Order: sequence, then C-alpha cells, then structure tokens
Amino acid sequence: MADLFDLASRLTCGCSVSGFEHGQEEALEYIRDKYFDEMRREPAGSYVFVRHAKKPGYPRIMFDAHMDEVGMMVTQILDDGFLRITSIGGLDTRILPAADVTIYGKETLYGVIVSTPPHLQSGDAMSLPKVDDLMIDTGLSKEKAEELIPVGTPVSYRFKLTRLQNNCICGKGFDDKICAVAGIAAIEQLINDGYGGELILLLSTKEEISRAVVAAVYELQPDYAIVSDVCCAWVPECDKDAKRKTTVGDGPEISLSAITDVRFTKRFIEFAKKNGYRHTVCVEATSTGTNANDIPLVGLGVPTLLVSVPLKNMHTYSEVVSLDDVADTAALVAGFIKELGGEHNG
Amino acid sequence: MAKGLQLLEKLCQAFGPTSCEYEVADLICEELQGKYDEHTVDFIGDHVFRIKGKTDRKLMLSAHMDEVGLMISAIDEHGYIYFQPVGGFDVKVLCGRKLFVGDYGKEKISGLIASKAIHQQSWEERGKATPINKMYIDIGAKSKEDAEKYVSVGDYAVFDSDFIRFGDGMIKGKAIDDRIGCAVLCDIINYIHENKITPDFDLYFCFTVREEVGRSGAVVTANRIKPDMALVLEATAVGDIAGTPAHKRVADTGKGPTVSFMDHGTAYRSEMIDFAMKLGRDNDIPCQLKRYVSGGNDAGHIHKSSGGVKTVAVSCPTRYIHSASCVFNEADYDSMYRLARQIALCPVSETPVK
Repeated sequence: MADLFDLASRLTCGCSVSGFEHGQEEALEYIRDKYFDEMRREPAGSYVFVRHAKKPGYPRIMFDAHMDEVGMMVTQILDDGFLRITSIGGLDTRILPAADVTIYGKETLYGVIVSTPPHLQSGDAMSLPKVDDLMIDTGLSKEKAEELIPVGTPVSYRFKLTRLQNNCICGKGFDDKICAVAGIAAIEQLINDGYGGELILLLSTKEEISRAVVAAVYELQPDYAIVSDVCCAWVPECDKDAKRKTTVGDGPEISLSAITDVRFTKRFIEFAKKNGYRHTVCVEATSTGTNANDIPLVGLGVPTLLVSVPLKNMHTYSEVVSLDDVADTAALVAGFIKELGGEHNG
Repeated sequence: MAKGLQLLEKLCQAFGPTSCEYEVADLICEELQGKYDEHTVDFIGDHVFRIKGKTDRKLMLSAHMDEVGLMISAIDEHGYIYFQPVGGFDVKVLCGRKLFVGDYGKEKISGLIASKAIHQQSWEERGKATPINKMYIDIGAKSKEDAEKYVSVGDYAVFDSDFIRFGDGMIKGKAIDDRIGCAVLCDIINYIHENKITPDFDLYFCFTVREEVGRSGAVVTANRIKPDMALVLEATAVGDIAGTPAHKRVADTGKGPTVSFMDHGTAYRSEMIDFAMKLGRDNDIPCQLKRYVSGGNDAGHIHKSSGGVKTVAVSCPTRYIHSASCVFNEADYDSMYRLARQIALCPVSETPVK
C-alpha cells in the first residue's frame, strides 16, 4: 500500500486555492514519474495523468478528484501592511479570527487574520465579521506589502499536518486532495497487481467555484468515471442530517443519486457487498454537490459513480479524515476497476 | 535571534495553563540555576528568586507563568471531549484550533477544537460564533473508553502554535501573555549575574501563578515579601490595526513597552508613571503610555497588598492576545527588557520610594 501520509503531505502543502492551483508542480511530477506515462494540463486547468493500456480489450476508466481548495484572495493593501481579502469558495467564517495564513505573493509570506480586540467590538459578541470586512496582518510596511503582494494574490490557510489517534490525520485541503491520495493508492495497487487497462487520473480544478472538470472530461471521453470527493461526516450537535450517520472510520460512503448513474452505482454497491468491502450508502437523490453532478452529461454521456471519504470540519484548516477510510476507498476502487476490466478480483 | 527571544520561544512552547505552570517553572529554574542568592517556592507554586541588594529596600519584579487554556470537563460516548475555558477567551478564536491535550508529567496528545462543518449549519447558525458548550475537542478517538486511554476529566489543553518571525521584525506565538514578562525577568537576572552587579534594591524576581483567572498567586507573593516598590511585567492587548483611530488603539506595536496609567485593576500613582517614563527618556528607550483603560494584571493585587505598594506596570503591546497567534514586535521586547533593567538597577534614592 502506498504511504498515504506521505502522499497527503506532498499534495496538501503547496498553493492550490481554486484558480491558483500552480503551487503543486513538485507533487504532480512526483506522481507522474512514479505511476504514469504522461501528464498534461488541459486548457481549463485540470491535470490529466495517463497510464497507457498494456493489453487490449479494456474499458477506459477515469478516476476524478479535484485538486483545488477553498481560500482567499487579496483585494486591497491598507496602511501598515494590512490586507483586505475576499473568499474563494465557501469559507467557514467561524475559524478565521486570529487564524494563520500563507500569502502566495512574490514571496511566500506568513500572515495572521485580524481578531478585533474586545474593546473595539461593537454589537453582538457572537456575530462574526464577514470575510470582506476581515484583514490580514502581514507585519510589513504598506510600501513593502504593496511591493510583495499584488492585488489578486491568493491566500491559503497555514497548517501543520498532524496525526491524531486511530490513524486519523488533521490538516487542510483534504477536500479533495485526500481523495486524490485514495485514487493514487488504488492505481498503485492496480499496477502492482499487473492490471493491463488504460488508467486515467484526473486532478480537476475549480470544483469549489465552477466545476471546470467538464472541460477535461469532454476531451477524455472515458467509458466510466469514478468520482471521489469528501462527504461531511456525522459529528455531535449535528441535527440537520440526523439520519445520515456515516462517521469518520466507517469506510467509504457510496452516493446513490438519480443524477449520477444509478445502475452503475448499484453494480458498485453489489461488488462492495459481495466482496466484503467496508462501506456505507448515502442517498442524495438529486444532487451530490460534487463533480459527479456534471460528468454524466459530458459529450455522449459518461456512466459515473461517486465514492466519498468521510471528513470532519470541511473547508477549515482542521479537516479530519481516517487514513483507514482512505485505504479502504483505494482497495474498493481498485477491486472494482479490475471487475470492470474483466479481471477477477483477487 | 537574541538570547532573550530564544528563551521566550522555549517558554511560549511550554504547556502552562493556570494551576499547571510546572513546565514553565522547570524551564525557568533550569535557566536561572546558580544565578541568585535565594529561591523559594510557596504552596501554590509561585517561584521567587532573590538577588540581595546593597540596601534592605525591596523591589518586587513580577511576571505570571500561566497562560489561558482549557480544562477537560466531559467525554461523550463517541469519544468527543468537552471543555471549559480557563481564562478569558474571545469565543471567536477557538473553533478549528489545534491543541495539545494533557497534564504536567503526562504525554501531550494532539487534538483540535471542532464543531459542525459549515455545510451542516442551519442558516441561523451561519455567520455566528459557536458557543463554547457546542464545541468539543477531537483527538481521533472512537469511543469514550478509547478517549479515556489518553485524556482524563481535569486534564488541560493549550494551543498548538509555533513561534515564528514574520513581516518587518514581528513575532507570532502563543502565550506571549505573559511568558514575555518571564523572559524579561530571566534576561535581567542573566545580566546581573554576567556583570557581577550588586543592585541597590533587594530584588525579588517573582514568577507567579493563576493570573489568568484573577485569583492570582501574586497576592500570596506580595503579602509574603512586603515589597517597598513593585514592577509588573506584562503583555497588553492593543488595537493598532488599520482603520482604528488613535484614541482606540491603546498603544502601537514597535513604539516600545507601555506604561499604564489606569486599567480595570489599578489606578497607578502618577509619580510611578513619571518615574518609568523618565527613565525611558533619559536612557533613549522607546516607551509609550497605555492610552486606554482596559485589561488588568497582577498590579491590581500587588498595589493593595501588605498596606499598599507603589507599583508600575510595563507591558509589551501585543495584538490578538489570548489567541493562538499573538503578535508583537521584537524591538519592543528589547525596549521592555532595557526599561525593566533600568528600573531594577535604579538607585533607591532616585525612585519614588527613596
């Protein structure tokens, strides 16, 4: 099995705020060199990795995970080097005051989001400032900040990948790079098992904004698409989805939805059941909130399924997943690809 | 990095919430080994290092060792850990923070403060801070029994936050309040030791406990020492952020330590304020008046102790105090150290207690 912690740390350390997914080259080249024959970036920005078929007669299977993450962008430089920002994607504003950030300007800089001291706060003590009203403290003079940080600079959460108990890890950008890790682990297993078909890994961009995935899929036109994204795990105080109780550690969650491909998904669930893969099933009748909403309708249509890794604290710098769940997702996906390819699952 | 700042980094990284200051005290004892005349520890954990002076007039120099933290109050069936704050927090700086959970002499484990993800919040809940009783600590445990292998009710948690330089001479870290005061006291003792100085005042360097909950160990220490004069070294919250008018900034980072005229615990004697400000001026040490009545510190206890003590508070202007990411200017550390050293080594005859 691939070293999941190592892959997670390689993939989550660079800049990959939606639309600014350019800080990942080193990790991407590592993945290309280790597992694939080629890597290219298509015009809308997604990265396509291809491992050519070693034998004829296999379907073309694409695994998609998005490589962008939520973040911020600088909109104005203020006195004393403070920055105004706006959000990219749906930020959780509860975690922002006094949070550490990385500013990807002409240099990579540290910053801290301003937390207004109590004597300057007015009104309700529980109300949170909107992102547009927040500032980042760069500790620089205005002149230096203007020189190093052009308006439009992306800003990301700053974090330290941390191990928790029971093979859980905590960090940022697991939405959705932890699913890329699962996909890479699945592909490593298929390679080790001598799988002969073509394998396409799509690390798509801008999922948090505009789901640019469709551009890449149009060109690739795979026979099957397996989309993997994170899903919100059940946590205490969570009554909104009281019936949806998948928690971190339960294994992958398979989404059953009228807009992905019900028959394809049911085949996947049957496969998981028959072969004893740990999983849960979640019905999301008309929307999955992921790339799997869009891929089925690309080109002549693509049979698509969605398999999710349960995650806590989505869109924060303290996202939590279980590496056991990631490993189980990888094993399930690898087994199913072999089944699709007509190879018997060992 | 200056030696004092290196020590400050070590002190800030230590695990020392209120009534669990032992790790900080251990570091201080190690640093000061053999550099004092007398060392006492009282029943609640205040450490006092005495350096005898030429006179019997006593100067108490005080900094508190504790930091704001959390105390574990309950563990639920799923292994999530509930907590109560120990010290004053703005609830808005808690959610999402990485923590170290444990106790003195026990292995610290990583955790984080969590709540529902934004996707799981109702529209009413969005845009509002989560109340403390709806947040919990996640250590990755599977169940109550699993969590109890690592954490017990009564354990503490403090922020997991690195100590780094950034911008133009700024430093970010946790527990600047009041490890910065502790580091300055150590720096002064080191200076006296290295230069073999006999001060005029009989100096009592006091590293106190429990400041963050108000029931401060400084009360016990001051009543025991019965000082003639006291210097409190602190970190003070400032609002020198873009757009804040001058009268609400409290003070400005980079312009030297503050000398308080009044806070919520003390109305300082003007002769003490003038004494400190003049020492700064005469020695070209940047310092500034704290220009707002806010906060409070151990001066509130000390100035009323043992029949009354002339007290001055010198503080490092610190942004985002009581959060994981406190920010101060390293030049202010140097100025604070120099001003405090001038006060410590001042001849008694030149002070307001002559």
